[in-house]
Amino acid sequence: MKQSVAGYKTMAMKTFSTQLSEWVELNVLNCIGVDECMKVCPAVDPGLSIKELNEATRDGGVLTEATLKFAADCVQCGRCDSVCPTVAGRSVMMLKLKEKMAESGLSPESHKKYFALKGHDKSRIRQAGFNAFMKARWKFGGGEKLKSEKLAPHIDKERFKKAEYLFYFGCYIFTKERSAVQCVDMADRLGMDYEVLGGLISCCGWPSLMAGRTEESEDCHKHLAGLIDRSSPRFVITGCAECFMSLNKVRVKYDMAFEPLTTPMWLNRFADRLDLKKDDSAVTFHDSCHISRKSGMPEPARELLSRLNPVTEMKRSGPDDTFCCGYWGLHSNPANLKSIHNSRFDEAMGTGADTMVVECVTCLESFAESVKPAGPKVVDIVSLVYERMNHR
Amino acid sequence: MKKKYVIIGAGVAGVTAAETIRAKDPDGAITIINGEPFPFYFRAAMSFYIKGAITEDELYGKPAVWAQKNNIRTLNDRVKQVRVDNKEVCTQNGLTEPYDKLLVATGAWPFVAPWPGADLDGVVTYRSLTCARHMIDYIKKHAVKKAVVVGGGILGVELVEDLHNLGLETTLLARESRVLELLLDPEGSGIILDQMKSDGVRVLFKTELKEIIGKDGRVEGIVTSGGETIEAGLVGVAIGVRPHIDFLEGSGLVIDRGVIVDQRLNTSDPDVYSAGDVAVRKVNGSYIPCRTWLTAARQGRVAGANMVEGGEPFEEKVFFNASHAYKSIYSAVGKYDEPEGGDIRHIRLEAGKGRYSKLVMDGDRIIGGVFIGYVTPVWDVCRAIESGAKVDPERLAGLKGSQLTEILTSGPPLLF
Repeated sequence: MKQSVAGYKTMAMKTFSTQLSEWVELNVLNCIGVDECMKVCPAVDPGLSIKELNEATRDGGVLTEATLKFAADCVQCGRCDSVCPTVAGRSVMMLKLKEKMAESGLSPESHKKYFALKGHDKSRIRQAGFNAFMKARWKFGGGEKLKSEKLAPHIDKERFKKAEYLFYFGCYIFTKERSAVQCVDMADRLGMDYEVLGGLISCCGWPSLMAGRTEESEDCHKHLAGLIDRSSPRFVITGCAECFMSLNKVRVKYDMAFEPLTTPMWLNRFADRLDLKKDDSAVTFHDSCHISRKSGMPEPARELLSRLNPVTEMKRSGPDDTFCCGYWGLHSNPANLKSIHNSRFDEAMGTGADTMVVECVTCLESFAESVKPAGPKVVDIVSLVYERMNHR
Repeated sequence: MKKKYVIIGAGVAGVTAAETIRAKDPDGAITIINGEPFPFYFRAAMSFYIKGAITEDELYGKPAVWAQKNNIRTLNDRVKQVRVDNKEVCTQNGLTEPYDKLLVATGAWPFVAPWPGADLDGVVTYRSLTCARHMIDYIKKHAVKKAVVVGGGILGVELVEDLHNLGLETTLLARESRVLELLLDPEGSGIILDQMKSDGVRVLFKTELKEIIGKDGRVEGIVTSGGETIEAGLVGVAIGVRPHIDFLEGSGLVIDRGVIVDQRLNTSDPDVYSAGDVAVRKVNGSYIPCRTWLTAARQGRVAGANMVEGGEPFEEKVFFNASHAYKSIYSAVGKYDEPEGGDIRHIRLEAGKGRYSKLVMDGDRIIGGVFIGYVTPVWDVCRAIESGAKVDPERLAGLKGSQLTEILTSGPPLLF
């Protein structure tokens, strides 16, 4: 499906940080102040004006209290980008603001805590302390025998066999949700030639990026590229939208031959062999910001869903209108997260469906923080397929 | 010795120049002479202000403390003469300002043709906030209910939108056979036209204004070139703009459709620069106007840098224009208007529901594009044009604009 556009490879590769600076230099000027970006933003405080934001973002600009808070809270959903009449890429400019925040040592406590545990020393990511934290937080293992048996040997391993498919779970190999283990289970049933990459040393770099640690994010890309290379896969499959974004970047930057697939893209390829049971009850679908909007791919998940259930769309759906899951609150304040979730749940219930399907594990985990008995069920599309796969 | 910089005009070119000068010369004395009674504002956001989507404070482009913080002196005045021999400018308020480096960034202003009745009250132009304020006051004062707009270009369309939002029944006269002829292709124009029509705007194509009729010095209607009489309490004229250069008469600067500048935005005088809509770059015999907000800003930055140390050329980029027209956002980039024929093909990607996108291909290379409603892929398209990337046209046919992003970003080494 993907194909390189010839010509780009010869262009000199600039560092991420340099590209960001160039983008900001141009697009701070490009802004015409219509305020559309601020109106659709789920994270910004209403008091912050675009001129204050521009002044802080530009080269030499100083962060104010309000811009600093916004830099920490921005979830990179990209909703701002699609409404801007001059295509000024506010979400990209926000990455610059995040970088400034991190460089000036003004990151919020939540970021500091996260990275104190995760650690980073350029060439290699220290994982021991963080693994312990993740295991505790996400209750890895937690009595789920199947899961530990299937996934434990793969965590942070550094030797890989050559395989056609590489499942790239990154940090969500730790998640208490079952999507990762279900992927591997299905792959076994389908007789796929696969390998598994997951844990912290294969971090996709997105958490660093979100926290303004751009250089670290680039290091993660580099390390990830090296790990993927060891398995020389034709396809790399991930159920996380941020990982998917990173895979695309890594593939281009290191001129690699693999094709990144989201889990629905992968499952669509095997649709004939899944023998899925169809159900008449309607479900609704929450688009991922990074797959539907930023990668422009709302279709694969819908195609897969159409084999399972009728889909009724929420008011805010598709690449233009989908609403952020809140990125499990790491970069937003808890009150903000709750209001984001509640408005999304109301919308989902408004369709008459009792299940909201997601295609990204980040969305799944983020929503899981607020799921209530009265609200919709939030289900990963992988789990839905897993349940309906007519095995045996 | 502190260097003295004088900037005429407080639009985006002038303000960006001032900012650039300050960054490069912390001690220089910077004076901006602003002919409008408002600080720098987002001109292209004016219709958002008029319909109440943004406040007056939001319309202003810089924080209130900007000038003070950057130690920039601003004068509310107009320049009436530039004396390059004495290196000074004279203002209407009687000031004489000496300069070491001068920037002319006075922009362009709409003109009114000498139609019969063109001097009646209620014949208005539309470009600046001053114009807009005058128009709104006039509408309120005389309880105007009907308006005619002359000119189907971007300012005309913007004016129609504003008048519609102000509750006026509006008729648009366009000399061309479609709206936004210089900015969009026929299909794109059609989308904008449909939106206007669904709002009840009447549009007359291939129609010019013949005469403005009035009573007691005030507009009451117009007569079209087709002989139709249309009742209107307001006539908005948006038939074009001309560079604001009257005050340069006798200055000795070379003027030809605007202030002529070289690649460094230097005028015929070594100490005088010009940027934005008033400036015209003459490159290999052809005249290149500024045209867009972003170009004006980029020119302001280059001119400002050169006023401090000289030498920086204005870098030609792939033509980029992205803005809003009526209820849509739109963008047209590169050679978007290159007619079809030979190796040139127009590949339509998406149409319907207020969305439309098209690529212009020369063989297997993208040379331009038009996007309406969904403009996100535009920078990717610009990069593809710039790099001369090859794309198989067969792969593009039938794609949606959003899928285009996916294909194009699979190429450029962009990391975000």
